[in-house]
Amino acid sequence: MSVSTSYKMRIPVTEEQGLLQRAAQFNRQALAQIYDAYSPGIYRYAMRLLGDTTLAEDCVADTFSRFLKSLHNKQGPRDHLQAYLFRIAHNWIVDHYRSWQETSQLDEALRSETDLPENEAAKHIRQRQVRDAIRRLSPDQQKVVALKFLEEWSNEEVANALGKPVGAVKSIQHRALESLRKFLSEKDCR
Amino acid sequence: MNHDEIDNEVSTRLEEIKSVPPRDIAMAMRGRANFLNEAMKLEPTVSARGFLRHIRWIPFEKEKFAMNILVSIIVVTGLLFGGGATVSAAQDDLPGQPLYAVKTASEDISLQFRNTPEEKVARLMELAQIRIQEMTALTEAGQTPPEAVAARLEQHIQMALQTCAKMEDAALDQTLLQIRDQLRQQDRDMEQLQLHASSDALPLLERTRTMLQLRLQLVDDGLLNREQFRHTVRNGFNFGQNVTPVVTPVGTQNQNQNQNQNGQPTSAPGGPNTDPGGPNDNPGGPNYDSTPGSNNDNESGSGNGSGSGPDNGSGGSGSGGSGSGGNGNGGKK
Repeated sequence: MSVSTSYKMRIPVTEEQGLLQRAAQFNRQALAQIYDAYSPGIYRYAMRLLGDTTLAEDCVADTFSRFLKSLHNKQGPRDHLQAYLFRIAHNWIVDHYRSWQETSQLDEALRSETDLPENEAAKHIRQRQVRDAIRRLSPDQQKVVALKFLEEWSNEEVANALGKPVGAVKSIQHRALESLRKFLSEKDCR
Repeated sequence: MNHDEIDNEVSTRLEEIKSVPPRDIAMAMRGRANFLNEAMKLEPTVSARGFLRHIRWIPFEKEKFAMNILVSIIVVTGLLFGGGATVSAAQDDLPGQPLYAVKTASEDISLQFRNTPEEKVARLMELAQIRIQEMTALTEAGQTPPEAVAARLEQHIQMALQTCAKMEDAALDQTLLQIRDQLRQQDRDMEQLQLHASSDALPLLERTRTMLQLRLQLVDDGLLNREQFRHTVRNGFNFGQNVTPVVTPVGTQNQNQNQNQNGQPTSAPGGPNTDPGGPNDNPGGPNYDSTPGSNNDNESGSGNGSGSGPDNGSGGSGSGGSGSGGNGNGGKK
């Protein structure tokens, strides 16, 4: 069974500031509430882009660990927690892409795919092609594609996550889709 | 999927990675526990002179002695000089802590200052939420919440419903809708809590959740049939069904002034069975409707990567996250 729902926050904006204030004081209940509300979405986001449960869990753990450290350093967010956490998560993913040992990873993926039934293997290969294509985009383009078309965020939400105006987001989106179309149409999508 | 500018081919390909297998519960729980443990480690210490206690420069054990003295002083001073500070100090106390009784007493008194039934119901549901938060805090601390907290939660909800039953139709409908939303949220909270609870705490949490679902069913039925709702509530919630208070009130709880209104066993008349006793099979999905605004903030981790070429992620994450923990890997801070 797969879950394909997009993720939107469950903490209302009106409650968020109070929650963040309590989190900044390391109120355990507030921190637990934040984790429960946002970790499933971060996990799904990482899974969609990485396709690996262990990496996705690592991404969640590191995202929230960095969040705690920023609170500890009195540099935590004061609002827009959703955008803040997804930004951390995406940066983690980009870092992971950069350190990606491409050949060994692909070899490993291909090895595991040969063990699967034919249609499952084909599905895995197609999914990997899409992820590889996204990985070839610039980090901002990745964010726009992932947040807008996988997570189904609005332009305003994406703009907030990128820290850019909506117009700039639309422009990035345009270039991202063109590139994505090109990469996906290439026979060997690496 | 948003189809702005996106053609079918790309859209279809992106759909292929949208499906995500369910998260492994055990791994998720481990991650949550690690997060909370790390939070505890990073939590600023209460006293900057903590090391003195370790070398016994402070000639008493803070937790057993100093805190008791402090609490006593607060209580006595508060009682002598109006009680405002004491009551305020008590609001964060949990069951078993010294000022918890002050907290509950102040809550009971606060109800007397609600002038309209709507205000009273709102306050009662607020108190119900506080009880849920207490149960959450205790459970997450690895303790079992006392029965008294669950009983008091049930009492708040029943009093709220009894107050509703005296309202005019329009006000009743509106208030029941609000209560329904709150009960649904509380039911979800309780469901979440059960995932993290110890085996000792589970039975109480299960009973509490059942109670919430029964009341939720009663409210749902009340929205369809007001008279039946009023009748059921006036008959001590037991009309046409064999429901005893789900969370057994303990002796101390029944000392409350509202004892005679709540959970009284009544001889149920044999009217039609409205069956508010079934569990709610539609507790509703999580509330995902919050979205942040569109103003920028300066914690972006996406500084300048938009134009970079393939596989070069240096722009987006390299310069971003300034001072906010936005990117800690790879020595890019």
